[in-house]
Amino acid sequence: MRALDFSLNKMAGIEQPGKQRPLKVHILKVDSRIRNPSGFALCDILAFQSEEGQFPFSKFQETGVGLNGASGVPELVLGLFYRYSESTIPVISFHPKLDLDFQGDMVKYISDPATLGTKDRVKVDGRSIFFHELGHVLGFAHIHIPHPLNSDPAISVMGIDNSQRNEGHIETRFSAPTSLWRRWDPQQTSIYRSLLWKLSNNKPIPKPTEFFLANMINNYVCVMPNEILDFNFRSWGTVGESGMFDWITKLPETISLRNPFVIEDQQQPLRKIERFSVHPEVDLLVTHSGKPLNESSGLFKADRIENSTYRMKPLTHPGSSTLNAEPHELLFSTLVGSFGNESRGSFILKAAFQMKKKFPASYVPMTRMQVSPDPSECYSSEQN
Amino acid sequence: MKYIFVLLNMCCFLSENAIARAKIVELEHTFAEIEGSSWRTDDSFRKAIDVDEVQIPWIFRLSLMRPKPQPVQLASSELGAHFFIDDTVRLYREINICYDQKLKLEGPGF
Ligand SMILES: [Zn+2]
Repeated sequence: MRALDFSLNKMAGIEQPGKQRPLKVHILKVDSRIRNPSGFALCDILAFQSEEGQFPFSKFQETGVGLNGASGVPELVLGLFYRYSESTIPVISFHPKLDLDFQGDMVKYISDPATLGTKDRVKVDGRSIFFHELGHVLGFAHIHIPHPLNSDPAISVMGIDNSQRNEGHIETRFSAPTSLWRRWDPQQTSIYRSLLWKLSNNKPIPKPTEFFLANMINNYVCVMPNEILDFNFRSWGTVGESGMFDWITKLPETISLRNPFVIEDQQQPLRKIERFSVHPEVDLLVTHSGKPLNESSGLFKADRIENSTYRMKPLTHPGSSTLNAEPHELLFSTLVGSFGNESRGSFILKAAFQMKKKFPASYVPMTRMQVSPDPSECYSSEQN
Repeated sequence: MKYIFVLLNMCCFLSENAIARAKIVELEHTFAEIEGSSWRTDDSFRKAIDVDEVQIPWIFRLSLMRPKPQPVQLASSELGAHFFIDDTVRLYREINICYDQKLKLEGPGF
């Protein structure tokens, strides 16, 4: 799926039979060198790469003070979102030093972070920056309290705020798997699309406090049938000395039901519990506490597990910490799947897997999901 | 044999003061230390580009001729669940994204 379609599905929901997505997006090519306001009359937003020596990137220094106080650490402002006033066109601008890749399949956020600040050109995934900025156009902020499904807020599209920066986050953004632009915060997108669909269906937009309470008390995210969901596992083990991983690369053709786990939800009797093995040592647990489902329609379809590793090669900046001097590898695992076409109602979803018995289990924290083809039903006071 | 087990701190950062401002600047910033990076909005960078209007190129000040999005105010920052800039969602019905001809957006990947 194209990155634009995927991201629109996340921000604004997916097309339904007889019901179009209430947000239409058109891509228009312009020539930003030509100073003619009528050439931009159709633009709601404008994206371009700045020229060397021009505002605003010419104003930024390319070294700064590191986390541990060392100065002269290379740094780079990759891009920015700039809205001069409410009556001007918001701008997405990329740093002139970047080689932007908007097309590749396996593009990392930054291809080789070790060369940042030393190379003339820096290769980055243009989509990760572009969709982050597009999020800002809609009002999305950097994530302060990420949804538990995002195992690491630093590797979500909207990222974290600078005030939340720590060494763990610093490592993981570069360590991020490819396709960072896929990782939207489920709650942030859920709120946006619910409001958008309410507006489009002429349903009342809840008052700020009402909405806030519905959101907090119900504490669920709304998803749509057939929406591609990425469950990012919260821990990733690495193997030392041997340096080898046992990859879990494919799911078996049949999924067998086994005895249920103990469920942490004491409030509601669970009518349906499925625990199916997607690998002898990988268990995905889906519980359903809503209406009974047609078995054949498929509750949740686990499609694939995506793994990626990142080998950390500690750099030796002046004054940098030597704590992590030994190279090590990180493993990131994401389970990709979707709820079936006929799935409706409230689900509790939880997944766990263990690569090998001797390694710590990875898990997706228990998550409540409201599955409906109509996001305008989400965060309504009548729902619970 | 060693393994790394990373559990990240997920909680408890309160939102910054939502300062009403016409100008919104969000910097996507990378910071090379060890091998790291993060999104970043830093006041020192904001200040660096807070210059007189005459120094701001025309392309950053083009008049918007399209319908404005509908703003919806949310009360989310009360508990620090800060999802939106100034707690305001901007609801668009239609967005025309204009991109400069030099950006390689055409193709199956985008
Ligand atoms: Zn940002």
